[in-house]
Amino acid sequence: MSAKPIRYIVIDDDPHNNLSCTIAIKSAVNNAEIHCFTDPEEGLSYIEAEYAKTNEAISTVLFLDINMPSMTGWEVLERFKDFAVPVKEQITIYILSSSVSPIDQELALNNPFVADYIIKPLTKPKVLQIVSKSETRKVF
Amino acid sequence: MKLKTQKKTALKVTPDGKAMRIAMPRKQSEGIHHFLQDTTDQNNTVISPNKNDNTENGELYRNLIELSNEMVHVLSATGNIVFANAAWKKALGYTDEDLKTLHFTNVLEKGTEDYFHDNMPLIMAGESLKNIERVFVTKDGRKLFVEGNVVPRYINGVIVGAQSFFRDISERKKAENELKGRELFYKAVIENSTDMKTLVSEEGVFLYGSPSITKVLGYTLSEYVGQRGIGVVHPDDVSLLIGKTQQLKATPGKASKLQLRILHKKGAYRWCEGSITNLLEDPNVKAFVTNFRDITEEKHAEEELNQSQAQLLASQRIAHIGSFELYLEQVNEIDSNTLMWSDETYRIFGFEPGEVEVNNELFFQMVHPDDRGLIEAAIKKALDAHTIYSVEHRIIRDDGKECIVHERGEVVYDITTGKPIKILGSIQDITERRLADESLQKSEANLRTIFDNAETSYILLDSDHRIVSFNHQATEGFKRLMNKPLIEGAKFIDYEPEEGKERATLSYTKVLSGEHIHYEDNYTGPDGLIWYSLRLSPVSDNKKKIIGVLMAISDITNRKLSELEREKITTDLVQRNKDLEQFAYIVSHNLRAPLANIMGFSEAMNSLDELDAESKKQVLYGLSHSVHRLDNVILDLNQILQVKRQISEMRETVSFSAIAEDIKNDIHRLIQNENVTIKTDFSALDEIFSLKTYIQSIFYNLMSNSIKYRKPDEAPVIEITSAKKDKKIILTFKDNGLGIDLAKRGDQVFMLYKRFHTQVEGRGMGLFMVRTQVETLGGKISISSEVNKGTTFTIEFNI
Repeated sequence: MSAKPIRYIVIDDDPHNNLSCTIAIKSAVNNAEIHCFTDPEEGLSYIEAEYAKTNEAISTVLFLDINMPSMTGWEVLERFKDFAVPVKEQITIYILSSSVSPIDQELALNNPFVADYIIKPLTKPKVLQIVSKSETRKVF
Repeated sequence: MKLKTQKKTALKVTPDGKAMRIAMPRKQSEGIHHFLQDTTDQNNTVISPNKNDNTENGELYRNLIELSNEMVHVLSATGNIVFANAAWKKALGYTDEDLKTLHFTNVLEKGTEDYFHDNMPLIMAGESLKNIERVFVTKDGRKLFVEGNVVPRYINGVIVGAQSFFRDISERKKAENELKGRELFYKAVIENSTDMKTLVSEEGVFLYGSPSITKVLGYTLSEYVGQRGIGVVHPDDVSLLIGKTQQLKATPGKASKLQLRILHKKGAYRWCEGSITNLLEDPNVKAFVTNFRDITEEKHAEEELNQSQAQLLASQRIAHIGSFELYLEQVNEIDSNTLMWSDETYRIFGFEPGEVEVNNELFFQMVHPDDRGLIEAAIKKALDAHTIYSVEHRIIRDDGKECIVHERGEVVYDITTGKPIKILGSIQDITERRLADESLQKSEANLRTIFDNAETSYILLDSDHRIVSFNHQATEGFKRLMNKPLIEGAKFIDYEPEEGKERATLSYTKVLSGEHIHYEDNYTGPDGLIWYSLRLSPVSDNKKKIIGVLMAISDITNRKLSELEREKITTDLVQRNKDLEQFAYIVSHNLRAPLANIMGFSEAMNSLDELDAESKKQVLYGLSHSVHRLDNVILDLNQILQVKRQISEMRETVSFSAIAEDIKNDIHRLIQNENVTIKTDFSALDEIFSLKTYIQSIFYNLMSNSIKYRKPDEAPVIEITSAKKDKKIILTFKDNGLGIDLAKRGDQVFMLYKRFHTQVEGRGMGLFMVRTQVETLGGKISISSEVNKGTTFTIEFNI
């Protein structure tokens, strides 16, 4: 069963990046549902609340920044690990970072919850590529 | 007729005790006298001196008789002496006048007159008496032994009396009597001797032995006759005895000498010396004849003598001590006096004992010319002061060898007159000892030179921790650094600083039990901080017993400083490396973040038509903001690089209170708005010699940080204090702000672009700049913080 993502979450402390992401996603996906969080804590709370109550699976893409003052992307992933399996299964996480450091890329790809590492900026073609990948992806 | 040479004879006793007569030639001065005597015919026709015979023949005979050494006299038939020649008269002391009344019996020894009465009739009957011995008596009553012949005197064919020819044999007689006496003596000696004579059979069995055997060895005749001789010979001498016996068996009649130990009946061995003669083939003996005597005592005495002599000789030779005696017959002319040397003295001077005739002149010739005065002065002083003299001088031997001798002399004085008689002295060859001493002194001097020229200070302590010795370096070092000179015999612990005494004592004890100790420490002396290395090693004597402690102290300040410098450089390099990594990180994150945004917005511009008005506005704003941010990052980088370059800036005295006031003025609006309280206390220390711009920057960043991260519901309070501790300036900045969870992010506090609070704007530059500046000034910064309680920054600067 393939599922086209219907919801997009962006967690990044930089509001300009979030705007740029929103524009890119919107141009790529019509009627995309987009939620942006500059505070990771808020993002996590949203996920926890939103995905636990639903009976129907919402195929979601999460763009996560690494370098944030209050909580790093890695810390967010640590918290995500502890979420219930049904919650986790609905969300595909992409690391979205300005860093071109191979160390960061390697760290990200070694994390079991990270689907891929995307170097900023997020652009329309990148979103389209993610969408097409998600369509061929098997989601239970 | 035979011509016979009369010879004088003498008795000689041979070593084996036999007396024998040997012929002695007459002394040349006495001349050789010949006397014609017809001995071929018993009834010889003797010369008939006859006064009335006036023939030429008669005259000749008369002269001969008169001149003869033989005593010639002529008797009448009744015994009256009618003629006596010169020799006769001389020997018996009578004159021609005496002869007129002298009867022959007057000349005979008393009691032997019968000789005349018995024999005269025979003579008158025509018989002759040959080789008769008589004793005549001289006129003065002395006995005269004579020997001679008596013949009848014929006148015209008729016997008228007797003619006698006698020789004085008194000398011979005396010797014969002596010999007789000796023979008796020897006989007695032999009979009473301890010489042990035995007869031993061919098989070695005793056949007979002399009584002396019982006396000397204790065995009675019956105890050893029939026993084998070997049975009483010491086991070690048996082979010698057998060997000798075998040799003797092959040479009948020969004797062999030997020494044997023979067992005494009581059990001890006696040394016996003697001979064995092989008389097996002598039909009268048919045995070995042995003759031994006990020489045990002699042997012991000889051994003792040999031993003590050998010891004396050896000790003299070994010690090279000789002695001398210089007689002082002429006090002022010492060279003419008698000098005597002992054997060893000869050897010391390179001679065989007695090889040369010694005198003082020879002695002084052999003394090294430079030392002659020394000896003369020493002797003179000894004579003047009545003391012993002792002098060391060189001698040059004939073989060219130069020797050093020690001469010691004592003047012997006449007890009564008090005049010096002689000098008794000893002389010892000390060449080898002196050379050894010299080489030791030389090597000691060499070692001392090395010791004194060492860079290291060496101090030698004995087992009581007392100073035994130290080198030049140590002397200088202690004088300069401790203002306390090292003194031999002083307890070294007194030089240790009070707080180091316990450790020092413990160290000495450890070293004296064989440990080696090494440590490095510093000490602040008048020249400032000094680093030193201290090595303590045990000192052992040649029996491996530990007798002390060797301290080796080296100034390692230069090394230590360069080590510290190196450490600092290493730390700096590590920091630089970190900085570089951080720089790379900054480039990859902070520089790229706004750039990524710019790229994203540029992309969005492509589809600008699709965006609503609000979105367009946001994109344009975002683009502008990101460009601005990019510029900020570049400016920050520039500032960071500049800070690291400003080290060369001039330092000056900076007042903490003045700086705090300046900043308060600069941000007074903020202080007012946020109701900030700033308390300062620089009473302990208000000044630092440093870079003013850096101190300003540090104060500004920390103060604004405290205000920036204040708690939203509480008025900020900042306390800034200074303190002095361990030669360090301590600055404390304490606030009541939000605080940082150090357990979580402590390692990142001072890193560039690290931020911990999202609700407050910040670039993560402030603390990074503070740390960089503090470290550039050689200080350290640390943080302690508690979330929601506040943060304290502590800065340490070296004065």
